[in-house]
Amino acid sequence: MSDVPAGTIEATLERAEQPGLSPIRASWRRFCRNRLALGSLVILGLIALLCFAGPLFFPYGVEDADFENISAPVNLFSAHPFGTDDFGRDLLLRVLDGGRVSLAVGFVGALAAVFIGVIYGATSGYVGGLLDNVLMRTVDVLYGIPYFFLVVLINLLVGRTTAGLFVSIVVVLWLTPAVIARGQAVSLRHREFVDAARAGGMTEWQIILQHIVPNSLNVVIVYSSLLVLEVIITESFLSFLGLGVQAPASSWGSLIDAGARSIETDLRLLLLPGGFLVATLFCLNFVADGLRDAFDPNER
Amino acid sequence: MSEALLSVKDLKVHFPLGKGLLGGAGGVVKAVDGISFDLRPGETLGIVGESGCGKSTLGRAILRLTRTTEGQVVWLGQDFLGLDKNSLREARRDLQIIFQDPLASLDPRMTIGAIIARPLKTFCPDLGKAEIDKRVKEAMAQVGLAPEMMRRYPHEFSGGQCQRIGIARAMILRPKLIVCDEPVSALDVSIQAQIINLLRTLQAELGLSLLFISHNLSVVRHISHRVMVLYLGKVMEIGAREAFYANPMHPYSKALISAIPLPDPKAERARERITLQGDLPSPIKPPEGCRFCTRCPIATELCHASEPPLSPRADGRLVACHHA
Repeated sequence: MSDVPAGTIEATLERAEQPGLSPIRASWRRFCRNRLALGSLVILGLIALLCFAGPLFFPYGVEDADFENISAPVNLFSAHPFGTDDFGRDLLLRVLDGGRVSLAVGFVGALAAVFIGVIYGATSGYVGGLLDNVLMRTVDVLYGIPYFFLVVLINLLVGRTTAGLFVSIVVVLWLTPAVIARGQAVSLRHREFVDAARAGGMTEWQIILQHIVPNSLNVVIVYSSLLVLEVIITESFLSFLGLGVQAPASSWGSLIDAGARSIETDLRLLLLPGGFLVATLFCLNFVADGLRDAFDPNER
Repeated sequence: MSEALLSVKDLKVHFPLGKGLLGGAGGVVKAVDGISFDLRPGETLGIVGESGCGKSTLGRAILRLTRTTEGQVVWLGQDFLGLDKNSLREARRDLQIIFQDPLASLDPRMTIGAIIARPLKTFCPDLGKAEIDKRVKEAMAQVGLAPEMMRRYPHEFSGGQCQRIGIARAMILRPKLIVCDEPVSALDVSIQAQIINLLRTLQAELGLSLLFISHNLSVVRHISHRVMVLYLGKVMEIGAREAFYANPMHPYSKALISAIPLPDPKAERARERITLQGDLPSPIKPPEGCRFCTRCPIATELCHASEPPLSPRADGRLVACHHA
């Protein structure tokens, strides 16, 4: 077309060959500029690495009791750097192993909750009408059921296993992502690019999965970073109450529970898992904060 | 007019107002209230009228983006509104739309290459990646975009460029009809001319029909073969462009045309304007009799009492007025 000014094309051509900056990558760049958030992400990564890879380097397992060193004190240069508990089990190893459960439940649980919630909410919001009403009132009803009641019920159904704990956490926590995604879908439904997709012959499912879901992601990503935090707290809380991970398996929550019982004799048992949990939660909070700033459309 | 590509018969789109929990009044907004017209292959029909007269709703209803209340849309001899899901999808290959807000009509999370290729992937799923790439680049070149830019995102483009992307997306399937819903009103004047000329060139090359919705009469004059004037969801006048602009018959058309600014300052100063009094009446409760009677300079008792039918005049035009 001759009616395009030649200058524009030449100017853009210089950069044209390289791919453009996608909204996700632009947000990632903004995130990286936030030192606190980036630092927290690195620390979080280190904690995760330690929890998942660390236990491999110990010459003994989590359950192995060292009867010669029962309740050994903290001595960084001994075989048990953080000492042992009253069964002679290595405390550092137990905390790392517990972290494995806590982090896995946290991230996988949040991912599952977000996945279910987003598909459910996006469908509800995009289709609208009667279906929307039915789906969202269902969510309202589920919101109304007391949380503990649900957890105990699922514990009874699935059994007191880590899987049961996981299921009960997801069942409780998918509701909020569903509501958030629905709100996004409702506001996206009447955007012109969705009309364009309909006029272009796409099916409802294609539109939901290819236009609605990706465009609600920025809000959902921010929320899910907070959700990881919530899942980890919930898991620890339930384990602390004895509803969660059962011995001999451990998570930070059940370790804290054990530590709390010996609070008067041996503070280490409380402080070490507690310290890991608090550090992780702090980091997650800062990361969530950074993500929120990075994805906030008003920042652009 | 049996060879009509698209034939709209007495189309009505009514939006019921949300009723309150306890019932409430719940009126009905008659956005489009009985519109009929035919569109021939290769023809451009300009649809003009002020804000809220139902122009956009009409365009969207024809494409089934909005539910219609009554009436028929006959597309290539088949009842378009009665098509089931699968036939509708198939039929949509030939019917495309260009939107008013160029940026909003592009998914911000897709590269423009993906956006333009999207309809192609829907309708020709067997095409290989290389073939799709080739077609996308062709389409981009056709609308004056450098094909190298296909990996970039919509927010990196100007309004005019975004509109070109929208046009490329509408064009890539070689449709028979494109509904242009105010495609240039969000662009500045120099870009408007580029886009209009682009649409004309593409129309000449591909022989497609356009339904050109706009409130800008100068633009409509430039691109249309025929012009249709809407007021409160009804047709006031419909006729060939030359006759319409030279001698508008309906008092509303006269007022609209008298409002077009002239480029020559002397002529502009001497221009006689018909200023309509008052606002557009509510489409929930249109005036009785002729819809235009509340603002018409020549309205009489008759106009308040009975609604004038859309009747043919000597030069083939249809006008809905007792006195014209």
